[in-house]
Amino acid sequence: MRTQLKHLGIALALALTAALPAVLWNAPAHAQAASLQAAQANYYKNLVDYDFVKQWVAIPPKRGVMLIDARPAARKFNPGHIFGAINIPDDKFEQMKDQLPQDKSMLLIYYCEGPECVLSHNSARKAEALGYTNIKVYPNGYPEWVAKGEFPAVAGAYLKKLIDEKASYMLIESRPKRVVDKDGMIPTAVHISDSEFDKHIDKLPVDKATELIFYCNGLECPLSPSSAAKARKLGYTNVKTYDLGHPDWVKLYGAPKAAAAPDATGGAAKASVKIETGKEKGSVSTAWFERTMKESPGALLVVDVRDQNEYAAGTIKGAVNLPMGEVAQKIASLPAGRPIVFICSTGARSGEAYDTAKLLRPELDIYFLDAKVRFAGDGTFSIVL
Amino acid sequence: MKGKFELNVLALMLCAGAMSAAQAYDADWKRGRIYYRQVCTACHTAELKKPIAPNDRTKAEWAAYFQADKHGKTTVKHYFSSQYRDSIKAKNAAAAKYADLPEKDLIEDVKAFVHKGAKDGDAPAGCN
Repeated sequence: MRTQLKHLGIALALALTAALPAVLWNAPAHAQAASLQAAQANYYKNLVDYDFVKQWVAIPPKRGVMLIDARPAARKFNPGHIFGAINIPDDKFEQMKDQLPQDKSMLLIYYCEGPECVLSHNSARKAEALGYTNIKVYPNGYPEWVAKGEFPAVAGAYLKKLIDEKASYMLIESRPKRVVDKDGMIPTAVHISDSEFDKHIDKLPVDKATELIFYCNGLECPLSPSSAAKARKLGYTNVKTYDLGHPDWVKLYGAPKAAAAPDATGGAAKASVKIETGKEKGSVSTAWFERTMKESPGALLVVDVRDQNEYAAGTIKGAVNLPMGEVAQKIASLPAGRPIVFICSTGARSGEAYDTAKLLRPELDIYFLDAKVRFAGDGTFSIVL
Repeated sequence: MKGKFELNVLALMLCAGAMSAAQAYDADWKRGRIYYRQVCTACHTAELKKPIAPNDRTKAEWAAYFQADKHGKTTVKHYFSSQYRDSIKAKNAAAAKYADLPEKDLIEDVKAFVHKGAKDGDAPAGCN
């Protein structure tokens, strides 16, 4: 008995000695701080490395596995997570445990913010307590994933925040034209289909540090990761994908508004409106514009190119906002279904928008209002003569 | 008498010649506006975090700036050169569209634009 215990003791000691270097090998050599050691003391028993996780992250997604990000949503998961991972923050484990699979033998891979983070290990233990039998933790987590060159995947909520805050980014729709014509695009997206990527690189921003977010049809679709890789080859340094893509956006925020999507059903636009031009080349007659906005405003797409504050203070009813500084960058988001009339307060910026749009998309039916406009603030306007 | 008449005609012809030479190129300020925003402003905003608007300077200041032809470590003319436009045209539609314009015409276009949009110009122009 004693000998058996002694052998068991030796075996345990040997096992620990074997296991410890394996854990330490993955930890960066310079980070042997107290906090790291404290974290390691709390590590889950089943640890995996990058190569292990990589084999489970694929398009289309592999069955039989759930990758779980245990970090907080808004600050960590939303701006960047492993492609295909779901978010169950460790402090919300109890409220969200029904998102775990019914099959308790399914492989669960937890990760969080790297060797000093214990959230994934804590969550793994909680899952084990619920009866899950096949749990692994990827201790090097998200920072290593990105360091290995994988693209960050963003959540719909993060994208919505960028759009609402009018941050500096470019959202790129990677699906082909026929899909986009049917589905519309997420607001602010630029259309560069993956198959025609090389033909449209002029639409990408000049500044290669601009945050680029590619999306397509969700986890099954390879187009946006493919385009992301191409963008990186061109030298773009801040490239991400919106992994859940267009279907997720529609689920969260509804389908794109008819005005933003290319004209598919073409009700009002079928009766093609006759444009009366003004004195300046590319301009419309002010009298004609006033009449048309009264009688058939839907016949035109009015684009207000003043900045967002001016637009918010009062524009023409039905006008969309595209500040002049962003016209070139977002030119692809202008739909082709109706004549477009650029407006501003004096005819200067709208004239520049006209010249710029004509340069970049000569096929569009575009004009500008060359006039001083007073915006009442309630959607009505008057032209100052 | 005859000699004086011929001298006057000669003088008139010389004047007309000089005037037409000066008016030989009619600067296209609208083209200058496009080039300025799409090529110059993109970098100013990226490097300086804010654009340089035409109405940031007076007409005299703009004229002096072009005259001095200094731009950081290089020259202003560099950013109008065919080589520069060729180097960025893959990603810049304005540079591509205006790739074949003579450099001096393009400079005149932008000069005309900033002149018009200067603090004391006909139509002071900001960037938004």
